Amino acid sequence: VPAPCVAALAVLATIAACMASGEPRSGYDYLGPENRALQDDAFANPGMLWVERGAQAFHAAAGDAPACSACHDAAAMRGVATRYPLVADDGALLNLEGRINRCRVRHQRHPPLPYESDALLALTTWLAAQSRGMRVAVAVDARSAPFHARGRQLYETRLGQLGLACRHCHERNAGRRLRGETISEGMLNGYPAYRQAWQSLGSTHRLFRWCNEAVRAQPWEAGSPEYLALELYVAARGNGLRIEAPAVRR
Amino acid sequence: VSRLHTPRLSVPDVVVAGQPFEVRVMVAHEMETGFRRDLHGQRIPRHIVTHVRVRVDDEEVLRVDLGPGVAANPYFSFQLCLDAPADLRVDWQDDDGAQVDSRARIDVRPRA
Repeated sequence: VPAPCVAALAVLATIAACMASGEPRSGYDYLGPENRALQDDAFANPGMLWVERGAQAFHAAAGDAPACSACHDAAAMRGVATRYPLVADDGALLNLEGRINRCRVRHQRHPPLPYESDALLALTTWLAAQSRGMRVAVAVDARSAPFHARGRQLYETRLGQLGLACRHCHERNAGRRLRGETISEGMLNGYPAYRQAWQSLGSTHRLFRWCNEAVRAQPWEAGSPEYLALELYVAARGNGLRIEAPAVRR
Repeated sequence: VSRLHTPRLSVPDVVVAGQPFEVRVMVAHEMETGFRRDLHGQRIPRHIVTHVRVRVDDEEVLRVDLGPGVAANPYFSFQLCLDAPADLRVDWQDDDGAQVDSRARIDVRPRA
């Protein structure tokens, strides 16, 4: 390798090390005071509407099948969301939505809830909200390493007509302005979150789709293996952040 | 199928006679303006909450007529003053004719 290249690599490595040493910052830190106040107010936070519906769904019988609460003690759900996405016993990568739907198919004998349906969002948001205030602790180990590597590859791949990878905005330019917005680090600790842009609550995969469309790329499907791997990588970037779901975001 | 659901109501359980207190009400509703178009260029029909009505023991204390400029999941807060214990009732109605309500009993203790 020529000497100038080595020098350039050394500089790049130094920059990367500096950025890596910084603690991850929640999207909350990039919000204005109005949106922060909205998130902090348990009554006014519109995301709480989905938490309430999720609580009802958790305790209600699903047709002729027993309720979620017939097997799961609601109190035992605290902390669950901090570990997702994770690799299940059979080697499949599951996020919260995937775990809920797997339970629904196997134990309630019902078809899976459609991704981004109100019913699935409500259960996911309720489940995530049980871990509010706890720190994200997604495992990056031998079992999840292949998924994590795939997620990282996606995170670093240029996409769309704008030719931007996730990291170009959310690593290199976090904190700087993009039109009227401040670019966040793209953390997931607030999701499912109520986004003002959507006037609704949305999942991590809806966020990925929105982001992909913003760089004029063809998004993957919600629940696709690509987005699951990306979710694992992005969630692990935010290990140590406190869960805020349902957060309010712009 | 009604898409108007989950009203929320927040009031103190007990208030002091003659002292104003805050009432907060909210309902989950998409508040579709009627001005947007879908991917095929078809106009998405208007679907909004049109009326909110607040009553204290059957006496109307607040009525709001909403338009399409109100954001999704409408939220109002206002001050009330009571002299005696009362039943509070909030009614929501949307332009599909769907109605939901939420109620609360508020106790009043005399001013110290």
